[in-house]
Amino acid sequence: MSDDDLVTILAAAIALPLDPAHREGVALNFGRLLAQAEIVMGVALPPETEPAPIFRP
Amino acid sequence: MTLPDGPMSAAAIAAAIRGRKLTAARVAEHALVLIEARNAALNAYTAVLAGRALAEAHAVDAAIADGSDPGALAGVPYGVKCLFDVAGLSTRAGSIINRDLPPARQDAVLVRRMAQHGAVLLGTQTMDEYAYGFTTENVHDGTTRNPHDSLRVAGGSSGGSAASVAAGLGAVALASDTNGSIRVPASFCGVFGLKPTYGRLPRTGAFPFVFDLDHVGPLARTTEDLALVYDALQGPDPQDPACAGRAIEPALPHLGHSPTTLRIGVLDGWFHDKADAQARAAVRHIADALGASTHVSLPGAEAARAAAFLITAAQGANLHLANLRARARDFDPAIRDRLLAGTLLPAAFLLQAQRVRRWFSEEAAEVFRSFDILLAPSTPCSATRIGQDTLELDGICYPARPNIGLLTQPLSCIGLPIVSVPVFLAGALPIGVQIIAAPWRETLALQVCAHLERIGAVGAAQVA
Repeated sequence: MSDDDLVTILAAAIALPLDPAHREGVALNFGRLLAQAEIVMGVALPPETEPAPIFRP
Repeated sequence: MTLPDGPMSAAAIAAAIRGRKLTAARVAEHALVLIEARNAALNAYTAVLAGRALAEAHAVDAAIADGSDPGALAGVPYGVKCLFDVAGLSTRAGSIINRDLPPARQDAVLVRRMAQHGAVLLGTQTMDEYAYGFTTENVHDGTTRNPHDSLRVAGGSSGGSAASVAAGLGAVALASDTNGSIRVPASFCGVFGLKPTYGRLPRTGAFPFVFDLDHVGPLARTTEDLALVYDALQGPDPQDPACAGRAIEPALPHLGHSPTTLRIGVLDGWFHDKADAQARAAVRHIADALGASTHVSLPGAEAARAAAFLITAAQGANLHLANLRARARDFDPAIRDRLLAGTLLPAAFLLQAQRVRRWFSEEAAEVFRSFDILLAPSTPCSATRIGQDTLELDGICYPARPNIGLLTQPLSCIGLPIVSVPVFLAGALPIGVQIIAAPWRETLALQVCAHLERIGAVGAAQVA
């Protein structure tokens, strides 16, 4: 599936209107995000590693 | 006392005004004349607040005449990145969209603290739209030009703030740093910039970008000025949920202590590979000055940078989602497409990114068991050309605008306190080196900077 196809599906999932004039730039940037996601998903983390943000009620 | 031809430090200005050798009004008038003469070429200020500046200056002079203490920043002229609330102005944050916001009813907390210490606000300063960029090439407000080379960018996103300080259009400035937005322009413009520990300084009244990563801090032409302002800004604020509420830990009184027994490491791996020859030479210059020869790895820097990249895209996008739906065409195109893409990120990536952030923080803590200070370039290269699309590093061609922060992003991702110090190598544009400390050890990083300045290894150069 191309980055452009993914953009179409994910934008529909959150009902985000995309101007056709913006699609190419969005797909390009989404591809860059996927490349960074691949790096992050490649890190093997132990189950006890908590997400970083701390909420203090 | 007459004002010198070159810019005075904030400390010298405050001392002269407190000592009744200069008036704050004279200093403010002089700063406003300089801005009038030079801002059209630099594009560092988005709004000049002459009336407010003169009123604040006269109040300082009146306090001195009354025998009152005008504050440690008496009459120090400064500007703020245009994401800080200034009473009576809409907080534009570099956008068109925010011009529709009602004027701020009060100043941001840090602007109030500057005023309480006697500083004089000159105006608001140019930035990348919503702080999402590293070049301050803003489609709405124009490009801020580098004071050292007008064909080059000032860096971003706090480009107007760094350029103003480098050019002497204000002694110091307040800015923000989410992924490098203080350190990158400090590097490109040849000034000092402090990004304190995440949670040290309150962001209340500063327009947000990425709640998990947003920091605020000062830019200055000397370490002493950086510490002077940093000390004035410290203190808890319950309105900022991320503010850690720590007691004030003044740095200025400790700057005179030259650190002699520090364990200093030079970061290699990512921080070496993603730097060009000049950036590597700048780090060697600082390492030699400090007698540091040990190289150290910080495992996971690339993953931390990726985590920061993803968190930024997703949180920034969420912040602006309503406007992205309703008026996407009103965004700067360079920012809009990045934000729109960020709205689409699956949760799995974001949660993993937040866990990587925790893991990397623990990796860094392990390194800090063996080292007090770490060194790395602030930017992969010196200032890029206006309109430059790509960077070539380590044989790889990168899009320039998202990647100028390659060396700052992994570190702000985990909130470490860092000072970017300016290095001027012969015949080259300035470039910054990051002096990196463990969390809450800003004073140590500033001590090292002050030492480097005393021995002549770093310093802001006067702009012709």
